[in-house]
Amino acid sequence: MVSQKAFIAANRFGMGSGPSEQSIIETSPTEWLRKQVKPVDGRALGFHARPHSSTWFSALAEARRSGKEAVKSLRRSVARPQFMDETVFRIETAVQNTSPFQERLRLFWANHFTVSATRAIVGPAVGGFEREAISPHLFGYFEDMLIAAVQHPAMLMYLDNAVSVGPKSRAGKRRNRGLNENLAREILELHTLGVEGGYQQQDIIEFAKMLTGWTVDSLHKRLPNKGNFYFLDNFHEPGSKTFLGQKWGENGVEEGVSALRLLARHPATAKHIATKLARHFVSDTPSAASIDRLSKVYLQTRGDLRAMSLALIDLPEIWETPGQKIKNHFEYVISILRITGPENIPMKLVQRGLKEMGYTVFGAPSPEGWPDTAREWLMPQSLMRRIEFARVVAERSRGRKDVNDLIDRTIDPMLSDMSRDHILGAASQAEAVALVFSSPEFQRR
Amino acid sequence: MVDIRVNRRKFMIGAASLPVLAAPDLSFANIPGEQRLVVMVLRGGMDGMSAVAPVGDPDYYALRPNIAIPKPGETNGALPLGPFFGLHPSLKPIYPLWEKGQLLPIHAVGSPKGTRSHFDAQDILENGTGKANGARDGWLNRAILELGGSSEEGLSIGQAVPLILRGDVIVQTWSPSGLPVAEDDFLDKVSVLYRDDPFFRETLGSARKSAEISSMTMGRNDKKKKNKGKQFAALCRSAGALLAVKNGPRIATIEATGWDTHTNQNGKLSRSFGQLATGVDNLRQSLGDYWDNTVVLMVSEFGRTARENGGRGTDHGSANAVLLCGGAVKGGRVAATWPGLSDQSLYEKRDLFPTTDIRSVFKGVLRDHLGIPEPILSRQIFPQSAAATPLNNLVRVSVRL
Repeated sequence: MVSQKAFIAANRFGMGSGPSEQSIIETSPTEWLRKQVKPVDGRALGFHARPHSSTWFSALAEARRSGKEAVKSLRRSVARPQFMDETVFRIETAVQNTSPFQERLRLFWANHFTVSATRAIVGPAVGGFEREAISPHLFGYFEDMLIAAVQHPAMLMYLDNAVSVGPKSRAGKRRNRGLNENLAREILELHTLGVEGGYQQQDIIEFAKMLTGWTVDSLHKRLPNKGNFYFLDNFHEPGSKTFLGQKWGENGVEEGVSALRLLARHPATAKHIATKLARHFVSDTPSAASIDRLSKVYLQTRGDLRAMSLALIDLPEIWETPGQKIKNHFEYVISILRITGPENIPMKLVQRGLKEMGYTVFGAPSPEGWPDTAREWLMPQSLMRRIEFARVVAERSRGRKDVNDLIDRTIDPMLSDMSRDHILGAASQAEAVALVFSSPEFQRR
Repeated sequence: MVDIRVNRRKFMIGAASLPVLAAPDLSFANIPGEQRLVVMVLRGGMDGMSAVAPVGDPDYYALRPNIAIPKPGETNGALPLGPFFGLHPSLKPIYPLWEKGQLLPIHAVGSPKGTRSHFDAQDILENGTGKANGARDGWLNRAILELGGSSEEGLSIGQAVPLILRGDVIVQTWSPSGLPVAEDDFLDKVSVLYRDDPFFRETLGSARKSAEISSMTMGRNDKKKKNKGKQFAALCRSAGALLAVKNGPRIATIEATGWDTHTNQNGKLSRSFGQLATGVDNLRQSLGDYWDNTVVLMVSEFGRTARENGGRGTDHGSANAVLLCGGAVKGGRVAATWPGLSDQSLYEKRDLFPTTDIRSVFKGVLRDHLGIPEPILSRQIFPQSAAATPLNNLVRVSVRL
């Protein structure tokens, strides 16, 4: 029988009850969480064996130089299979990871810095983006993660900065190409200050100028095609810029870097990050007290994400109000796989289920990422698809799990006697298992 | 342990290689070893006294004043199965089989060890040992092992292999793509779990409502909704097609849910029986000539209380009706030792008393249809079941290997 504290540790912080971690969660849930606040062991998760995103960008550039047919063939023979393979790896990692709090944080930050396969050219690199830009900084400083994310080729391509040209730069004058504000705007609105962070349209333009020249080498014929970040002086808008009320002298690539550092340390960013974390881990409408507390830690530690993660563990509201959040579709499906054992559920069914619920791995609908409140994504139809999925999965996994055992390992501390009796009175084992997975107690965290 | 098993398929390949022995005008349906067996597991406790109503027993109408199936000839009356029994009117699509002598209801059939738990009763029905958790494999799988243990022999239609067909022999599986629609019956149960959670309650309520509306208009979900009732029927049609393949699978299982009718059972049963009968009829059509060598066995884990409850439904009971049909069935009669429905003849004063062991039915079919000899039936397939002797005359005994 799991205690309520163990339920909270496994579900509010983790990905649902898993195969191996039961006993430690039981004995000391907070200890179990604190132990996970340490640099991600990418080797243990098999990250080293995955393709680096740069190989994709250089292969794409290579193909483009050979013509349309080569690009087509690359899409078919590399892009598509690599993307499918990455999504499977993403699901498997989430199911098997024995540090599920890390898993949740990686998903949270990857969603915060969304790069989405809705733009086909970055599709095969989204998995790499998460491993290369997000994962290493999970418990580092926010500003380092911010810089890594913004400088990552996938981000520079996804939000068009790779082709943004300063109008007065050498390339700008010669080719009559201009500024693309997309990345600058999204950094301010989504990644740092937040929409009410007090910046103006002119700030966006100035910030975009500071970021000109931040591009990917593969896009430029004269550069070595390595698929990496490159600062191209030819694209960079010369001269001083006025951004957020400060005057910034011409300083090449350092302009963007210092602007990002300034943004990372801004109180509006602290509030924005604190709000998003609280909304994700505590409730769709978290208390001001929780937000303030996280915000203070952020400012005191200059955005130390290790301190932020520990502050989440120490947040009273998180332990006092379980069940406030509803798992998003990915969390929901993963939590089912973790308890049934993935070997019983074919990957095709998992992906079909996610798709029908309205979720695509690596395919967030916009740079804003997946919404984080239930009302935005748990639509009537997607709830119906969840129930249908629960039913199919239960059919598949029955006979391998006793219902009582399943309840014990999952929703036991949250379940009313009435609901328990109702589940145990189902017409078959499979139906009972499906009821467990359909229950509010299982879908909430 | 045994033994030398003759592999049916190997034998046939051998036979085919000897053209001298080939009988030119033998239709394929008569070739030994082309018998088909389809087991339909009706989960939830199908009400056998509605399926095969004892319309000639006055106590039936006394016990069920509101929900008994009216006598033949009355409004919504049963379809006559001789003078004493009547078939549920919604099973009409299979009534022609009765007239052709291909439908054989067997009544008052029970599992050896009475239990009113769905889980345990289904386990007993499927594992064939007479007790819950008595084996980790199912009796149909053990039967396939006796037939040579070929993985081509068994076929599970649906999302997962049910216990009855699980075991040492890996069987084939087939299921349609797309997430299958959840039945109303299941959604009703989910709704109960949502009663104290306004968000889930309202979201599900609106999902069900919009499914209703779109089924009345020509919306996008129309197709899905329309398929809902046809899901089982569609599975049966596919099953028939997969079984109508020479040297293909011979033994298949299909499951149907929605039989746990504790309240207002007549409406629910009309739907469920209608779907079941349409499914069987689809199966017959898609089997084509193979139907002649087919036995379809419809079984449920237990019957329901003889008396109706306060909600115009019935609760978990004991003995039940089993339906056999198919071209290979010796039907056109009801096989039953009818125990009666008076107070003292009821099992524990509430259920139909079991007069036939369900394993006797299974053993009769396995022996006479698939040719598995009795000692093996009572030892390997249904361990320690010698007392439950195989029923005779269930099937037309055909040429067998």
